Amino acid sequence: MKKWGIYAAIGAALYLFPWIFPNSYLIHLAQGFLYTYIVVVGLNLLVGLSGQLSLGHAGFFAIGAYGTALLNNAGVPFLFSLTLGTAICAAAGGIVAMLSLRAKGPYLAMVTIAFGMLIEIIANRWVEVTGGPAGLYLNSPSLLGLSLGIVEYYWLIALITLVITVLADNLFTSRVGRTFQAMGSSEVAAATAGVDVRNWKVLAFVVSASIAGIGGALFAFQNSYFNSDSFTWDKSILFLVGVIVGGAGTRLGPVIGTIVIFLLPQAFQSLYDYHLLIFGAILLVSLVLLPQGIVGSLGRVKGKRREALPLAKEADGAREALGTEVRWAAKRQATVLDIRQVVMEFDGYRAVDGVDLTLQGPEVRGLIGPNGSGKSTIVNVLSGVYVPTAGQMIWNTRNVTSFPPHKMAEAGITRTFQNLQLFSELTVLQNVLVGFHLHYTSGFFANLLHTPRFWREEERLREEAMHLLAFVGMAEKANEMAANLSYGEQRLVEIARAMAVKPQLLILDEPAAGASQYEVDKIVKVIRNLKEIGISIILVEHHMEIVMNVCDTITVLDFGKKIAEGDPAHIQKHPQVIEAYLGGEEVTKLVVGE
Amino acid sequence: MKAKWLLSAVLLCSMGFAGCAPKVDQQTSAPAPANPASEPGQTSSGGDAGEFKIGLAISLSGGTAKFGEAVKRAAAMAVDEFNEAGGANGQKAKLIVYDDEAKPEKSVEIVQRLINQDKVVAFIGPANSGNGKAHIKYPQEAGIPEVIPVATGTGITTQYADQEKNYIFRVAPYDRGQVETMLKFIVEEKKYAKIGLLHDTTGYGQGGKADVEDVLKTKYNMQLTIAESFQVNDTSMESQLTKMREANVDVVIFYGLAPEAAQYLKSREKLNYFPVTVASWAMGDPTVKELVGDLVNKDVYMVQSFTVDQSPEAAAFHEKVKAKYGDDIFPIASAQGYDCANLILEAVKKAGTDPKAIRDAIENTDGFRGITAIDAKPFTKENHEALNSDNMFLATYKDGLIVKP
Amino acid sequence: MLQAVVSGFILGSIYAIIAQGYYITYVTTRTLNFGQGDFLMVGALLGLTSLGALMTSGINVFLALLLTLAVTCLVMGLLGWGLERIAIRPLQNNFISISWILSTVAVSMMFRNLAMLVWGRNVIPFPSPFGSGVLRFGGVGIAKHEIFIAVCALVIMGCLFIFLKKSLLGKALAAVACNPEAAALMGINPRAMAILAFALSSALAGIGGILVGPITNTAFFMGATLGLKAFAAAIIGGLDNPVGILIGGLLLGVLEQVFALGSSAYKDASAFVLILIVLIFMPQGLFGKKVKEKF
Repeated sequence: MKKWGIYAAIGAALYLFPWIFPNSYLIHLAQGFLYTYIVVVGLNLLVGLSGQLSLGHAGFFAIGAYGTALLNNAGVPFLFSLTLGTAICAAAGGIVAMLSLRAKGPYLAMVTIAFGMLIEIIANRWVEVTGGPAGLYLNSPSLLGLSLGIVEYYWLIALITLVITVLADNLFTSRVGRTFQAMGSSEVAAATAGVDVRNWKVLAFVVSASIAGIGGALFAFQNSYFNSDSFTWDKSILFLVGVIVGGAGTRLGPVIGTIVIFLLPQAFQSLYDYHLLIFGAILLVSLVLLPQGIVGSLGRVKGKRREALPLAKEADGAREALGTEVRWAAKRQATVLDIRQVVMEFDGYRAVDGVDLTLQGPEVRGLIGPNGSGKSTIVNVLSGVYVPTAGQMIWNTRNVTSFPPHKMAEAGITRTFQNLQLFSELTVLQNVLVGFHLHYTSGFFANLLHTPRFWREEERLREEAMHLLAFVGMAEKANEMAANLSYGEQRLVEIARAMAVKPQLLILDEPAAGASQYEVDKIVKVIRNLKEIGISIILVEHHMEIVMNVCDTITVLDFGKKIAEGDPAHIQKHPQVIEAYLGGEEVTKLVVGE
Repeated sequence: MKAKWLLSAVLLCSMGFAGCAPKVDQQTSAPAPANPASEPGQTSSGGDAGEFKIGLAISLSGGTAKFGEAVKRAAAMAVDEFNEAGGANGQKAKLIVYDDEAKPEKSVEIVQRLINQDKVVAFIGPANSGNGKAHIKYPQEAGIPEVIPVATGTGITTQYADQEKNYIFRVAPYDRGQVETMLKFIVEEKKYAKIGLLHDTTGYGQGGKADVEDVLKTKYNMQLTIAESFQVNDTSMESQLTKMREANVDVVIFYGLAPEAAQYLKSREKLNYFPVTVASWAMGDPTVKELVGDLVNKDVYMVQSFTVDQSPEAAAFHEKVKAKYGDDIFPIASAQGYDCANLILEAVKKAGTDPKAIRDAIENTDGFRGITAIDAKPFTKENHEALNSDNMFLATYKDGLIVKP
Repeated sequence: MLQAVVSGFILGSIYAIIAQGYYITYVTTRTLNFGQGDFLMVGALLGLTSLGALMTSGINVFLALLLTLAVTCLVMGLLGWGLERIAIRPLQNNFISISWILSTVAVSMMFRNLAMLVWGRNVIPFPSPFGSGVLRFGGVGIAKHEIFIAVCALVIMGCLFIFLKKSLLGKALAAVACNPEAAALMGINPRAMAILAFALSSALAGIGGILVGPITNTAFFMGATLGLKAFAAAIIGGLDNPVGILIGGLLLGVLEQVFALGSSAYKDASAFVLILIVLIFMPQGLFGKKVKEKF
């Protein structure tokens, strides 16, 4: 509830501003500040949370401005045209997202640049509609028939700003924000947790574009006139600067960022000969000295103390639950995985060459083989990361051969990663909550508005997540940032996150790599527990000790082909395995020594 | 959870009500946030300060920076001379300069700042017509006179012509005047029938295009044979010129700024195609000749309202600028800027520092001796254009010098 | 039509030279200089000043040109080195992987401002050392300087390819590109290579500036458009394929000129539409390498 006190205070401050400063220049500045801030908030959701990039946000800004203005000029009431304008922006955002789905890095940057430039060109050249550089004259905005003066319009902007701030903040603290962040941190891990990355990327763009559109619409009506010169590439850059300098992915970042990009230049307005120099220098210095943005970098220093408090209580509750069963997995199921003649080829090189593999009921299957034998490729194929070049995969009578990772997760197959893919910007608990992605039932709007239903669900799953963390023995660290954990701890959290998906088949890709002996023991225990509660496991591992101890059956690969299969004892004595994989004396030592 | 929703509802409502309440207040009591217009007048007409402020809101960066810089220098010179001569009633002038970066929203911002923060009594600006269109609402509402030195877009000074007092003046060859001068030459003197237009895609070129089409239609009942455009920073206009050649035009009207004018002339050379070209004043920018040298000599006409040697005053001014700043980067802009500043300063001498009185004084200026072709009595209540088509003439290059044909 | 194609090729070869600068830094450091256009502007203005100074001192034209190229390359190389040190390296471990976009933009803003203060706001004539003569082949006119550009573009790119593929240093650059850790183990200093890459890239921008100066307008604001178009060319071709970049540049140049024959107003839109189309179907550009991520 403290939060709402803050909102109320901000609202009051915004409301009182024109009374304190009855000066139309300052009110005008305040308007400019607020609509710029709105755009930065939207861009922060996209860049800061979902880890995508837009160097064309001025395009959405323009679409919002033109959409709303043209509709209003055509006689549609102001608020209604604002809504429609925003909807048009949302659609544009969706289109840009679709266009840029497969592009990454500089290529993604280019798609958004191209979009921004195209909109700029259209605004400039399609004179019959947009007015081009000669501009569009607008009626002053009116609400319910009342024409808004500068102060009233300021209040309207302030109100919209407040609403957007609250809603954006809600998104930040809901599963939507978490999913965005997860996706930004590791797309593949999010996908294996059941997140349809494509749709969520589109969603991020749509939300961000809509917000930018609102900002643009508010800008358009500020002077009752605007023209195509306002939507240049510089503006897109400026918005991005606001996000990054303020602190991408932080909740306060946009405020600080907008101060830097909007208010700071006012301070050196009379140094007009040097303003790019000064602005460039500020930007560069802040990027170098405060690499995570102003808020991000300061927050990091202060952050830990703040988070420590609520943790203790939750951890207590979880500790009590320790030892009790993980409720959802109680029902045992016979799971049948049937892989037939799977082939995976890269540029002519066969990493997996016609492998058959059958998995019955809850069992722990070891998958071993020397480096480059195709284990990781099989894991990638099984989890949907790669689509096999040839062959078939049948899972519980369904053909899942060409399923993408999130579909695999839906079907009940998920995995952990050899090279850890935790969402490093999230806490341990939040990581596990992302794992529950498929089990959330609250929709986007419930999350946006933080409805009671949202809270109930959030509470319930939090508790369940704590159970899972207790199960892997990580409950104490629930509020730790994932990036701060040790290697072994991260692997345990990955397992907990994978369990949150509630899979029937869990693929553990070298879970013990880099773990200490203590952690290895813990991991072994967890694997045994998992089997007990009826989850099938495919274990890829180099630690022979673990493999031999926990696996029911072991499959051995070499050069992409299966060379042996059987129980541990059988494998240990299998001559071909010893030859190919273990090779030479060491093995004999190991085998005989056991 | 309930409390939260209640709170937000209350918050929303209070904001809503708040929105209604003070609007009534403003009309009745009102130290009036929305009506700061009266303030500058009150404070400055009190006359206690030893100086008064004049604003300059123009682009000093971006593509039109050169114009802004020229005007800035000239205006600063005018203000210095005014102060050295003792000012008006013991009050000295101070020039406040802001850069609008050639962006309309920036322009609005700094104009408001000049009016409300710096409390200028009048101001000069802008260079871009779009910026002018975006901000003229504010000086008009606040009652602060604005004199435009560069922006030539048609219609800016007539936007508020129907109001009792129009605060917007201009000392620049506005586009429509230029277009009329051009078309008079093309249609009436040369009797050309097939007219091609080549314009840039900025507000300048597109505004020119609209004017050309409109004057052609209303005055001569004609149409353009072909209209092509180019972008600022384009390095070649061969494709556009090729189309002109294919359309077999008699004359090409060129509406763009100096750098692109130079590119146009180079492309003519490359294509070995030299249509008669009639251009706006920018073709007379000395930069064009610097960039392309002798290429200016073939059948190139442009509208001019000023040459540095048109009068002794103009020549003296040109020398003064060169002496002070090393060179005169854009003589016509300097001259217009200088006249703008002097119009304001003369008005202050006559009427004091009340912006409204200054406006009246500017409108009733008489006996003004300017550097440009400005009349002694440049304005009337209806006409706020100091330079109209009577002051404009068509010039051409002869051996690299601008002469009347 | 033929004229448009020829002009397009010239324009495209300019794009390609600038874009090679993107290639070099991208493959070695996975970053690139978003302010390449402004570096080009600095190169052009520097070249203009030094060429002017040398010509007035009465040296032979070609000698003056060579000296100018050398001086510009040197100064731009130093600027590139500075850029790497202050705007790229400090951000290397930044968790926001796109900070370098903004830091290079920041540097370019500062350069633009400085150039405006040093060289003024006006467009400066950059006389071609070959005069402004035009040669005619049939109906097609080509300025002498344009021939110089085309020849230079070929020579420079040829040298560049030989350097990257054959010389030890070039191979070291490529090694860092593939695997910085392994390269470091082999005694190659990845940091030195990053500096080299940025110095080379900036020098290329400088040369580009001198080449285009006489045919574009030389002024502090000349860089932005060219930099962006060159980036577009690099993306179309594929950032990690120098030959692809060359083709991308030429394609873009020709497309723009030919498109202008149809609709000059939407000429510059054609480039961006082309990019969108290419990236929808080939998200790595026309000739870029497809990389399968491994997990």
